[in-house]
Amino acid sequence: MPAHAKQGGGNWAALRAKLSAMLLDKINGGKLVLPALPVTATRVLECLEANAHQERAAGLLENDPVLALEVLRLANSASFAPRSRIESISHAITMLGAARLRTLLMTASARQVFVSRNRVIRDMTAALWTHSVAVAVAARQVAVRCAFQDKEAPYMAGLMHDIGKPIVAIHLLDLERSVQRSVQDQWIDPAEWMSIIQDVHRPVGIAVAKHWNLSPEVCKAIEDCVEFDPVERNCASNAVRFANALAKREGVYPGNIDSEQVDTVIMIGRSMLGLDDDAVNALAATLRSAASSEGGSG
Amino acid sequence: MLVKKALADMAFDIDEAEDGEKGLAAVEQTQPDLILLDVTMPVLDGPGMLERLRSRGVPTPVILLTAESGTSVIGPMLKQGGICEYIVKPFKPEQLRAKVIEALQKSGAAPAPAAPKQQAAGEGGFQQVGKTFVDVLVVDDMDNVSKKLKTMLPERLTFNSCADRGSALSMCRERVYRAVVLDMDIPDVDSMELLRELRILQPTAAFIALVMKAEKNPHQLVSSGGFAGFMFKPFDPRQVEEFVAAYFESQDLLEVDGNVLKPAPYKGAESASDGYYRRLQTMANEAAQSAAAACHDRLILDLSNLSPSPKLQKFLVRVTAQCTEVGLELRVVAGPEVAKLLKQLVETAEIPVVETVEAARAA
Repeated sequence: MPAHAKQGGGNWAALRAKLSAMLLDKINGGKLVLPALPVTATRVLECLEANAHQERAAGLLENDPVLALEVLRLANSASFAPRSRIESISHAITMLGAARLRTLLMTASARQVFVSRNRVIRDMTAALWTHSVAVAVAARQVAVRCAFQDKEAPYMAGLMHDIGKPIVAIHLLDLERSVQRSVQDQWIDPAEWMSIIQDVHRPVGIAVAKHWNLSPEVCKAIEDCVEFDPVERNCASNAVRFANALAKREGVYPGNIDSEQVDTVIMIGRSMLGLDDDAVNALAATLRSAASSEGGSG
Repeated sequence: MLVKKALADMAFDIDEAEDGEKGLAAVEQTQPDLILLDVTMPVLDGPGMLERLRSRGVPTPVILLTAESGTSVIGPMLKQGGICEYIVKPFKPEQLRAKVIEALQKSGAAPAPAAPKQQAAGEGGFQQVGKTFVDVLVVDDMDNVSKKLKTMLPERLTFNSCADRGSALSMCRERVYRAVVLDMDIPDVDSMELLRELRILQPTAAFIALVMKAEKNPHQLVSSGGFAGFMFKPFDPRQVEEFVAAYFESQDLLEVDGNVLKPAPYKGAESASDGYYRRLQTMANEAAQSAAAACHDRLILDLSNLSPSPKLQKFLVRVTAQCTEVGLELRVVAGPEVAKLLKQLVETAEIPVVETVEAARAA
């Protein structure tokens, strides 16, 4: 995060407007370079789409030790509780099934977007990743509690709902460095910096989701999670909106929050999704636990 | 109309107004305990009515009942204050009923979630802070059931009964019960839904399911429904005796003398002792906190009335944890069998066991 420096209110507003406009120009003009899915993930997903023999997918994964380890770790986890330790990738794929493998690949790919080598934004993107995982886990819990038909779309949408932010942050750093020479030789105030990201990240996130071929439900949920859908209440966007507010209330979010707005969203969401106090408390606990294990892992 | 219908059998006095202006007039005239407020209304909308209510200093709690879900509309209304709940339309009647009862409880218009610590004897209970405390409520559609149970209970216990859902809700709104005995087979009544509603009105009461002896798995019913226990129809004198021991003898359950605690003997069947230990645990925890607050440095637990059992062992583990938390050293007065029991667990193995309270004080 850029170091704070004093600057006049008028200059801030002008700088913010200028940067926002430049970013929006890039986004709308399709000039923003979006991250590609990692090669292995792309190929394995192609195999899954084509219903190819799983040995082919296993062969691809074996060539990527990081992904291979993730697959084995998940297959051996308590969620699947195998009778004996699973040692082969092929066996692990059978155990997980195509849907869980797809989610795992997307999760691993998304995580890479949030890893930054730039010390200025490294902490912020790492905290955003923790926030995203917590929202994803809580959104899936909402889907389970409210008996959604599709429980993976809320998870994936929760994971991806802020993916535009690290991408915008990188571009914003570049723009800031070019603009600041002509405006003032100072960094943007951190709060202003996050506000700009907040203003413009959504279309970038939607573009990434489409670029990565995520399902229409997930893309729609990322786009719609700015307001509740009062008609189709048990939908992924409502689960993500509620989980996102809950994460903010629980302090699992790196930016400033408007606590009154967060409380309003939670109050509306509770009624919209038919959740009682016990359910909300349980979701908050799940969320904190997910954030704690993700933050701890690293 | 829908709202009135949903709340029809809850014995509330309900006034309706079709716009904000009429709503303001109705509030002034009837001074209600609770307002259910829509956002979109003719003449004066919900936000306008709320603003005028608050500017006049009317603090009546409000439940927003609306199809509006935009945070830009609801958020500013919350800032006006006094919005205790939000229900989005369309809603389920049971959801509305639960929220209404909860809101009334929070505002003090319905029984507050605090149980009386001591009960007075006498028919019909006694008055305290405007509410009547009663020991037992029986909800069963057959009069004979409550009559029979009353003859089997000690005379000192106060007793109410009713035969339908509306009366049960009404009585639970007006009084505070210690135990509610609920028939699981009342015609045209979903007993589980009624249980949920009554539990909101009586958060501290023990709910006992009343089932036929033919019921195959009453234990499952108890655990899945969240009942504290069950009783069979026709009544079994031993079960009734255990019910009384479990819920109406707690004032004698634990003798407290400064930092010395002495539990009373448990007289019921071992299989039904869960309630006894649960209540004993609560009282022991409170007594430990009081002892710490009074600057005692140790807690003496005289177990001479209790027999060794796995439940006693669990109880001691929890008391040990509580003492550690509040900074007290625990000493136990007991015979060799209980001492042996303590040595079996890491958590309790180090607790000093002596034969008399005097020895515990002196050690």
